[in-house]
Order: sequence, then C-alpha cells, then structure tokens
Amino acid sequence: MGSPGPGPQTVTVRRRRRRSSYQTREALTGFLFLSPSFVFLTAFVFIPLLYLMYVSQLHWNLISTSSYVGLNNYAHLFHDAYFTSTVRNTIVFTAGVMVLTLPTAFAAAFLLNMRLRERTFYRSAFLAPYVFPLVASGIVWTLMLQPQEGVVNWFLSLFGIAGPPWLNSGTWAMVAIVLVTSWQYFGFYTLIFLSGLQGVPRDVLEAADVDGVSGARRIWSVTLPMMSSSLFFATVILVIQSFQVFTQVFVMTGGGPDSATTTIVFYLYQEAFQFFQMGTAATVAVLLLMSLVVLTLLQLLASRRWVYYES
Amino acid sequence: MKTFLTRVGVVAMSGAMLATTALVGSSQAAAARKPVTIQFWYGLGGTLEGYVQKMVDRFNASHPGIKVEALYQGSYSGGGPEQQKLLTAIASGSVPAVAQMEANSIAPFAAAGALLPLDSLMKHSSWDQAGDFLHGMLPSGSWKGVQYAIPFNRSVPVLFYNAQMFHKAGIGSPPATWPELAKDAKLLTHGSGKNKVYGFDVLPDWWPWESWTLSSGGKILNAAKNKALFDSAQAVAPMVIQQQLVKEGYAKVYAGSNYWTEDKTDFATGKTAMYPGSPGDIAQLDTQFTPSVRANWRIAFMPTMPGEKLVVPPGGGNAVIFRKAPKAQQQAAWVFMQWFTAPAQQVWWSEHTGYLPVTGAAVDSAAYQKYLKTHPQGRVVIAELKHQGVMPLNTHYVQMLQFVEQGIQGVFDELKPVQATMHGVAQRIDQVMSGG
Repeated sequence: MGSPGPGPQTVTVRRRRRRSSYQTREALTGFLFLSPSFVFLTAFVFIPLLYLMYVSQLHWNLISTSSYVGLNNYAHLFHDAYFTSTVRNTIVFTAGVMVLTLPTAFAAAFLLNMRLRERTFYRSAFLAPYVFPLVASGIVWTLMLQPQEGVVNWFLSLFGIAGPPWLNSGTWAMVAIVLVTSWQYFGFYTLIFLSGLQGVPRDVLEAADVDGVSGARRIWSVTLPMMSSSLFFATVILVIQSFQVFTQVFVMTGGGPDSATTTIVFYLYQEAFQFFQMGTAATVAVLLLMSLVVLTLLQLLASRRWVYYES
Repeated sequence: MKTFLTRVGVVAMSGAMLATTALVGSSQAAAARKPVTIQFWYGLGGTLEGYVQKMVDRFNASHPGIKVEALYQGSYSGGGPEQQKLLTAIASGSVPAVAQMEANSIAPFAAAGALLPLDSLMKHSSWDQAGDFLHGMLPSGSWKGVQYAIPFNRSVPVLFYNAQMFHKAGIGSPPATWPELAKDAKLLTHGSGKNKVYGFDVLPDWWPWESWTLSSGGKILNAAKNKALFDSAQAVAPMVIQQQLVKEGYAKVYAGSNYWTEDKTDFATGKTAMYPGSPGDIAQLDTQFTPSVRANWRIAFMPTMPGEKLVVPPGGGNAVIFRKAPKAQQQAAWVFMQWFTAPAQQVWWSEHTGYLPVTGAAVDSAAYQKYLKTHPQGRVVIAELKHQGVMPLNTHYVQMLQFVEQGIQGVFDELKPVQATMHGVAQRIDQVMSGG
C-alpha cells in the first residue's frame, strides 16, 4: 500500500478553487472594461432618468420655486383630451409610417438583391434622403407641398388631379408628414432588409427551387422566415423612431393645423419650452418611456413565435 | 562690510518694492482700461438683424468702456427660441446682462424674480423717465406695479393697403370696419390661377387677434384675469368675417409657420391689396417691393367692428436687465439701454426699420419730423398709438396665446366653426389658469 496521496476529491476542490479565482479575475477585468460606459450611462442616463421622474411630480416652470404635487401631473394628463389626441396622432403616424415604409423598403431591397447592373447607383439613390438633415428636407417639402405654388400639386395637375390642400388641412397634413417620413427612412430600412436578404442561405433557396417552390410562395415561405430577424429589428426600431417623431412636425406644421399633427414628443416640447410646464413635460417623457418599454417587450415576446435566428 | 551689506539690502528691497508697485499700478491701469463686456441677446432675424448689429457697432465705437456682444438667439416671439434659451440660462445661473423680450411675455420672468427692477434707475435717467415714453409704451414692461422693461423695438398692428388697387376698384378710402373691409376685399379681388390678386391676406396670428377681439367690444380675460372671455359671439365676429372671405375666395391664408413672411411677400409683389402687419415689416417689404407697389403702399388703422372703439396691442420687444448678472454688467447694460432710447438713436432706428420711436423727445426731434415729411405713413402709426391698449398679462398669458394660435389655425386653415373652436381654446386655458 502506498502512502495516502491526495484523494480525487481534494484535486477537484483545488481545481475548482483555481478556476474560481481565474473566473473572478476575468469578471473583474470584464467590469473594468465596462466601467467607462457604466460611468457614462450613470451620469447621462440613469441619474437624469431619476431626476426626470422627480420633476414629473413637480409644478415648476424652470425658473420659479417648484411645488411638489405628487402624481397630479399624471392624473391631469389622463384626463386631458388634448394629450389623448396627441397619443392618437402618434399612433396614426406610427401605423402610417410602418404600413408605407416596411413593404416598400422590402420591395426595394428585393430588387436591389437581384443582379442589377446599376445596383450601386440605386443603393446610393435610395439612401440619399436618409442622410439629408431632416430640417432641410422638411423646409423643402413644405415649399413643394404649397397647395397653389407647390411643385407636388403642379405635378398632380398634369394628370388632371386637383391636389389636396396638404399642410392646410388636418387630415392631409398628417398624410404629408407620413409620406415625407417614409421617404426619409425608406433607404435605411432598404439597407437593413438587403443585408437580411443577403444572409438567406443559398442552399435553402436552391432546395426550394428543387422542390418546385418559386415566386411569391418562395418569398413568403422561405425568404421571409429566413430573414425574420431583420424584419424584427426593423419593426422595433421603426416603432421607436416613429413614436419619437419631432423634427418633421416642428418644421412642417408646428403641430398644426389646430394640433392635428401634434405628436407626443412635440407636445412634450410645447409643454416644456412654449408653455413652461416642466412638470407636465417630464410626465409626458416618463409615460413615453414606459410605453416604449412595454411595446418593445411585447414585440420581443411576440418575436419568439415568428423570428428565426440561424445560430 | 556690515554697512555695505545693509546698503545692498536696502537698495535691493527698494528695487523690489518699486518693481511690485509698478506691476500693481500697471495691472490696475490695465484693469481700468479693459472694457466691461456684456452680452445682449436679441430675437430679430432677417433684414432687421443687420440693423441691430449696426446699432451695437455704433454703441461700441462711442463707448470705449463697454463692449456689447450682440447675439441673435432666434425669434423673441412668445415661447420662441430666444425665450427658451433665456429660461435655461436663468435656470443655470449664467445669464446675459440684457435681452430683448417680446411685449406680451414679461410675466413669467418677472414673477420668478429673474429681472432687475428699473424704477429707481429710470428716475435718474435723461431720456427714460416714466413720463418720457409715448402713450401705452410702458405697461407691457411692468408686473405688479414694478417696471422691469423699457421699450426697445416697438410697434402696433396696422393695415397695409395698396392705394393704386383701391383707386382702380373705385374705393375712395381704406376700410375702417371689418364689414367695410369685407366689401372692399370683394371689389379688389380679381384674376385667377397664378395671376389671381386677393383683396386681403389674413394674418393667422395671435397678435392681430388681440386687436380683433378688443376692437369688437370683446374681452380677452375677465377682470380677475383667471377666466377666458374671448369666445363670445361679439369677440369672434372679426374672425367670422375673415373666415367667410377665405371661404369665398376673396382672402388668402397661408398655413405653416411662414405665413407672415408670405403675407409680406404677397403685398410687396402686388398679389394682395391689403394685409395687417407691423410697421417693423417695412424693412423686409423695402427689399421686395415692385416699383408700382413701392409708389402706392399706404398704412391705415386696424379695422374695428362698427361702432366699437379701436384697441391695438403693444407689439415688438422691450429690453430687460437680468438680476443675476454682475453689478458692473447691469450698470453697463443700463448705459446701453439708455443710449438706445436716446432720440438720435431712436430716429436712426425708426428710419431704417419702420419700428416706432418710443419717446416723445424722439418724435418731436427735428430729424424725425423731417423724416415724416418724406415718409407720411409714419404719422399714421404714431397717430394709432393713442389706441394702444393694456393687455391682461398673467403668468399663463404666453401659453394662452399659443393655444389661441392653434385655434386660429383651425379656423383659417381647416375652416372649422369659429365660435366653437374658440370656445374649446377658452376651456383649455381656463383649465390651465385654474391650476388643473
């Protein structure tokens, strides 16, 4: 019998201990690398967020002494018909932009994915509106949409169509802002879809061909499911982007006519900087944040049913 | 040896003393020579911006002890960019010394204690004592009996009209009432498509709205200034008339935020026969006039409803000094404000921009009287000043005007029923004023 050496148990313990100290070191290094962004996020996101929640419980015009009103601002907003109409406007805007942007961007991406000779030119042309500053394109569109002198109604008149009053009418002003926004965003989503399409494995498509699946059926049953992660990403981002719409409204309609295009963020701006009601403005911001979080979570939950990740 | 060392020490010390004295002296002299630099925030863009900068250059050239940095901050209109920046500047404690402030907007700033009271300074001023200013120029700068602002670039709304078009249409004089204006607009409208000339361009803005409401015998708020009264049938009558003109194609209205500039352009280029505007518009009109309009533009009083008294609101901007600015800067700012309101500067400013001279001394000066001989339209504006009213300012007044503006858009852009729309606006501001 040899001398009793260290039993198998002891070896395991020692190994575990070694691994654990290694893991601790690695975790520490990880935290060290994370710390700059953590400091940055704390200073510019978390602290302002807490402060925002605090301000939402004040009656304050930024320069006067503030008074604490608890949840009164929230109660006031829920009973304010004007705020309700801005929520409705934002939902109509978001729905309009999604219905218009996503299918057209997908169609454009599908065309670009074919072996067209002028592909590079089209890609640049489609993306051009996205890189224009919104303020500049908003001003140009406002001029183009002038009912009498604008180029849009002149163009429509060539086909015998009497153009609508666009920004002068509540309904048409919303249509105009949706159109201009889709025009602006379209190129960006085309690029996202294009990258999604190019990620669809060739062998799967070929297998579909071999099985005799082609045309719309192949797009619906093979291409779309294979690029569902791009579709999901685009939907989430577009919803957030649309809920935050501000510049187009500010430049083109100022929320009018008669608040027909006043969206949530424009209302927030008005409350804060035109009406000097910081408490209400902060409340709107908190509600917007909460609704975006809920919407995104719902989208994430729903995505489990339809989004396919290849990995 | 000891004596020698002592001598060397004394000489060295004296040298050091002299050297430090010279240093201190020269730095004090430098400090005395260094001018006090103050920031002046203003909100007049476009053609007018150049004239503000010229005035400031002239001040700096004649005042070596003070350097005014004039900074354009976007429009000074109620709730506009300049006011937004002032709010944040006050909140952060980093304020300019002096700023232009729109004539209806003093209340929230004065109520928060952000402005320097000017009464005691005015008492010792050569030009800016309370009695020196023309009728109706001071109330918009006062809050709860304390004067916080003095007039800077001031105006009242007037009716611009084209005398040649009136003559051709067989109309002898400009309209004094809204029904007369409606009748004239129908006679003045002609042509179609791109060549259409409208009788009237509506100015869908809260400023003329103050005049519409008050010159129809209506009221904006009750005496306690906590309930809106501008939705009565009497108060909205001028809006009903103007909306009817738009519906029938005799009046033009521009949507979007550029309506004022569009109105001015229409008038200057002969596309409309009348529009209500500001004497301060003349600077822009002057750059756009066609030869025939240049020879024929005239100014008339704003219309009233028949049998009602004319009341015009104060317009343009006042100047304020900020309480948190350092004392030396406040003093320099007061020197600048007094210089600006002195007759010589007022005459120059008025001649170049169309804004009104704000003191009696400026109007009576030989230079301004000479100017009026060649520019008789100025007399009409001066005459209208005696109808300048006092607006019912409260801390929600600027907010109310924004709501009103939205109502006006509904009435003119979307042709919504006038009284119902303005009733909705009144209810909304009542809710805000009651703290709801």
